[in-house]
Amino acid sequence: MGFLRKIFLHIISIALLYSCSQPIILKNMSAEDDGYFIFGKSNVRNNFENISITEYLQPLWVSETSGSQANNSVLIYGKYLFAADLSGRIYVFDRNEGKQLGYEKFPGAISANPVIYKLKLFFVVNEREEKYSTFIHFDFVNGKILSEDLITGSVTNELLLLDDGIVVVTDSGEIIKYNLVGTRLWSTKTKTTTQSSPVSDGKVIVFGNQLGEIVIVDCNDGTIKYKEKIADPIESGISMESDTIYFGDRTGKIYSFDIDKKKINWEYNTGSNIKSMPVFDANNVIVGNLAGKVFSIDKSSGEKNWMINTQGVINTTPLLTNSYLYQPDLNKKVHVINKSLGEIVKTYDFERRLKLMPIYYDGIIYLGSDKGEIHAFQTFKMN
Amino acid sequence: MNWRKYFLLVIFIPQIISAQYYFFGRNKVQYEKFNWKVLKTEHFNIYYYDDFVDIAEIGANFAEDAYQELKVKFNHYINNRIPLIFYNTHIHFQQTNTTPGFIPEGVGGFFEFMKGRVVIPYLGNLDGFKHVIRHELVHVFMTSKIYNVLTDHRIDTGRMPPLWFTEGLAEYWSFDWDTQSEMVMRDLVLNGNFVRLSDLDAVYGYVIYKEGQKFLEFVSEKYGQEKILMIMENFWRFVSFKDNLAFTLGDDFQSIDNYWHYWLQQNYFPLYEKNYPHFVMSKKITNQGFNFDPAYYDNNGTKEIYFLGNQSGYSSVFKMQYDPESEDFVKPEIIIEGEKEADYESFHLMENSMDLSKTGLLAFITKSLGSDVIHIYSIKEEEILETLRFDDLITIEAPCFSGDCNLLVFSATDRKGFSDLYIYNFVDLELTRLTNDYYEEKDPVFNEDKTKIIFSSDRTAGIYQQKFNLFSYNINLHIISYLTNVDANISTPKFSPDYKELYFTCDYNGTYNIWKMDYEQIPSKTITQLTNFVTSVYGFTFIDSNTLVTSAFEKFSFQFYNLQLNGYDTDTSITLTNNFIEGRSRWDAKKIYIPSEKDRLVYEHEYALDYAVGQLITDPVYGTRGGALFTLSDLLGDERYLFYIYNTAEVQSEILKYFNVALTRISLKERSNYGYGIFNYAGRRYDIRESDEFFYERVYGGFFELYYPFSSFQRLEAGVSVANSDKELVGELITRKSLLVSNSLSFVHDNSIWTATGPIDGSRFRVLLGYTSDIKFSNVNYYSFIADYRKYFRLGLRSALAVRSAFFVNHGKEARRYFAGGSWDLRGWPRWSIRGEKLWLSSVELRFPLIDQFNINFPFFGIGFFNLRGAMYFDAGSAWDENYKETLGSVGFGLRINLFNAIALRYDIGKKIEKNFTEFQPKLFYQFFFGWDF
Repeated sequence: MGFLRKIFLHIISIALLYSCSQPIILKNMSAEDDGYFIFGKSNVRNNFENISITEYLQPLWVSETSGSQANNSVLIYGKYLFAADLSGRIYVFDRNEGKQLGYEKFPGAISANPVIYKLKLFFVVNEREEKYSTFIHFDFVNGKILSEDLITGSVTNELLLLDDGIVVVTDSGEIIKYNLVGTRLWSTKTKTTTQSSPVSDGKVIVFGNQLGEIVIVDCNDGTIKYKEKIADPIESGISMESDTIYFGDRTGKIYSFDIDKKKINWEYNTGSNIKSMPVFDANNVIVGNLAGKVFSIDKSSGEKNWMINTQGVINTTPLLTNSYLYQPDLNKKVHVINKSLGEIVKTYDFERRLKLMPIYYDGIIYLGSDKGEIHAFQTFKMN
Repeated sequence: MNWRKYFLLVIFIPQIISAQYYFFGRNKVQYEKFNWKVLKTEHFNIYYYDDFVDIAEIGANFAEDAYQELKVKFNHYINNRIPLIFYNTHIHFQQTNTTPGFIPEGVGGFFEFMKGRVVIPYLGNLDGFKHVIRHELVHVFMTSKIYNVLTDHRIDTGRMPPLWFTEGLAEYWSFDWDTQSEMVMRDLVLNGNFVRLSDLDAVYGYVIYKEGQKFLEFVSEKYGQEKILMIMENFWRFVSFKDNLAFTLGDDFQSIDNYWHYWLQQNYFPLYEKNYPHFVMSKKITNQGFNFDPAYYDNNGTKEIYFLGNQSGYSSVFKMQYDPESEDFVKPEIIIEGEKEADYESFHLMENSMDLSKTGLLAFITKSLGSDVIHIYSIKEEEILETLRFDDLITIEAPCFSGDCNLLVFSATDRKGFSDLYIYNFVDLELTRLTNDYYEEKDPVFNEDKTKIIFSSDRTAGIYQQKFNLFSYNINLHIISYLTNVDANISTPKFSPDYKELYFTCDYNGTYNIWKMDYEQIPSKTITQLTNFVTSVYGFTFIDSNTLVTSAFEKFSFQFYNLQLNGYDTDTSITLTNNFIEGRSRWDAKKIYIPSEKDRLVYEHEYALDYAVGQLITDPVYGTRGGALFTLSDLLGDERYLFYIYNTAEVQSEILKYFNVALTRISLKERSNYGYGIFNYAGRRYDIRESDEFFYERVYGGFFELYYPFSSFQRLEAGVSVANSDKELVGELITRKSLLVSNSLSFVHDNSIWTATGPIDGSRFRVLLGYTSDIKFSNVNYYSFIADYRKYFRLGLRSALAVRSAFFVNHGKEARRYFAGGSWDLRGWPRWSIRGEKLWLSSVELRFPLIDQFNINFPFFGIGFFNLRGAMYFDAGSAWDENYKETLGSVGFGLRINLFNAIALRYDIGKKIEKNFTEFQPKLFYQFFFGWDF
């Protein structure tokens, strides 16, 4: 009787386990599919789309992850949408219908976006009750972890996907490069707290730190080529346009900095801490601060074009198009701003705080609000 | 700012738990009926009442400014409007129903987690008001931030950072380091009372506010400002806060603690180069309790010091002989004992609240009923001559007689919250208001010919805006002019005996020290520092032109010191030059802009759920039973509803028969509190009066209860209930029907004060008269009488003899029985084993301290126990129905310990006295129980 009961309990346990998890196994995938593989779309991280769409957003679907997200974004691979969350899960959805297709659970939080490279995911899990994090190389066709590497401390800065590897910058300022099969190639310690996501032109890696320094590291061997105090503590992401980078600091100054000449082109004080990443088009740089103000700055002169006070908190990078700026606000709103006139033309109210950077892909804007809600909106081209 | 008001909650903590249990307890009296209004701003609902609109609008502006700053600091946004409830004074704040407990002196506001309410009194000072609003809003943001961090990571939200971090952060992000903070930290570090980070979790009170604040300053300096927010953002990662701290700062916990200690010593030890402690440069003349407001009086050649203190446990007026040559501390004598009757409900120890005239009149302030009053006491006649109460003045401070004793000047707060100067004329019995604005005026004194009043005020405008400087009010011309204008805070001015110099305390060099200025040539160009103590002087009195008695803070205590001024080298003292050129006539506080009148509303009850609990129980005897309890209350806590429902049916067909429901409404809004409700209780019962008597009973009806408090110490209770009771004895065909009407009237008194395990001083009693009758069937008909008296004779600071005498009677048809036995009454006898319609009890117990602290250390952790108390007791009593049976008793020894400030653990050993008090039981009994001493 006892033996039968044991078998019965095992069967129940297995059934429960199976019903509680849906591993990510995406068969029949092409390694050449298009998509949105990295936070900020590319290593220079400018969330600008050369499109002209109206302010009107038509809701398509809403789906949920278990935990919330940090201020990053979803990723796209072909017909799939990937979203990592702070409860340590990576989800995959059908990007057209929002149907959840599976998820993998890891013991911690995934604070930085994964990167996708040829049917593989690379991401970092900040482990619970441990002082380290784990860099994971995951095959989502077969649902297998291919390799792991322990990293000291946390990783909340966004990853870089270079031609020959993945770059991780830890919160304690260690830069680690992995090759495309997840093997550590080199690491360099700067020993300074770093809460600024790096950018790269393929030759150098650039990021800021809490000492207000801009650090430039060689992509090939991790040599620090430049490390000078430029600003107050830098907590914003960085965006890059050829030799120029744009970033903000804790006192609210936004900088245009030439990494080749190592000089500040201009700086403009917005008055409050900048956490999000500046975005830019051909003429202007746009950035929001934690006081809820959004600024448009002339890219060449550093003069203010306009300023809008949303009264909320701007800690999420907006989506910039030819027509409008789509700016999420922690105050449960998305503001659609006419980027030429500096006027809010429409505000979308949400039930929860906006967290994810909106991304545009194939006519759809994807964004995310608190408690892991992923929203998809149909856009409409301007006449 | 009036820094004394915000200080030392820790002193009064034992008073909080004196909200007692059983049928005693002090009263929280709603003396005022507040007409509440609501001001709706972008992020807040501001609740205020009556005439408090000006300060409420200024407070609303402080709150909105703080919100804008904190949303950036926390990188967080609170989407719901935060309820901010303002009271115009601390006395009104103490009447709040937003928290059920008593609010001691010294509590400057609180954030209530359940409904997210922030409740703040205005204490007469705008800068202090701003600080408290910001402090509480940091709590609101931190709580919300942590909650979101945990839910973002899908982690249980049932944990928060330790109190030292929570309060330290609220201080660190709400205001700059100030004189009071500096004084406390200097004292902790230099006098060896500093608590290491590893032990800080076990500490409560003001220490954790200041150590927490200083620690975060240390973190910012050594590890980086960003680490503070990172500690909160990493909160999900580790269950242990210490692990989180070590991880975020990138160091092991012990190293952080070591370096923090070293950093403090590095900062504070050099102070001894130019500053000195009180015990070195003056002679300590008191050593018990906390002592304030010393006033010297030459009583026909006998030198006496009158003062306010709490040496007896109650705050009181004391007298002591002034004998600085004595090697022993002089024992003071109580003149007026406070906190025992309504006239002296409480003293404001931390405020300037007593003066002594040259003719031997003592003016002191107490809270009496709903406001402060001034008592005039004659030292010669040893009695209160008169008590001054003013209708619209709620709090009063700093009384000061004119030289001829015809006038009394003081500062007081009116219903607008304005703290202004008043003069009371004893000759024509008139009160005159001198100032009328939102600047705070304090510590007024008359000049020699009573043509001017010198006072301290934050009305300083210009370069040193809102600093407390000294001003002169010309009584004839009604003109206010600057006496000082320096970049420091000045308070407690006092003239030298010859009126040629003005002495005062000033915080220019970090803590309050004694300074002086020439008063013969006004305006005086400079002020000069006299003392350089490392911690503050709170107040002082002149013995003669060269000798002072100071009230000073040292070793976390307020004691008196005898100070000889000629021991100081004034040539090397700091001199500050008054900058009158940069002084301006006024400054304006910014108010919130309310564009629409629809955002100014009369408050209507906003109800929200306080508590909801449901339970389902299954057991083999009684089957499955389920029930739920809900409580609702309005935002101000004035109106409450309790809804209770459960069912004990064992089979489906009995569901209606065993249905229990009760609905109660309680109103606490006004002075008379009342409650009423309806109920239906049905089910199987067991009557403890007769063994093995099970029956089914259904009782339904209603009740009404009224409580009228005369003061904090005494109240009248009245209750009436009507209940239909149908009883069926199980297994028998006997039924009893009745329509019971019960009436009761009680008088309750309680002015006891408590230590860790029970009362130690004061008295309490209840007298109850009741009558219960069956008005329909005459099946039940009995009266009730209860007299329960307890008196606590204080033998020392921590020991007392407690006496109890109680008599209980229920007499008549089907009268209910009382019962005794067990740890709370007749110790040693089995619990509830002594039963009868009549019962008497008597106990005598000696309570004394045994062990203050002991620790048990295991290899990986340790546990500390505090305040182990001992008791020797003697109990006697009996219970009977018709004829007296026998007298029973017990004697023995017991141990008591307070656990987590929530409950007392008691262990008694003794012998019963049996057989009508003729012999002891052969062996010892051992009894273990939880509960407070009687």
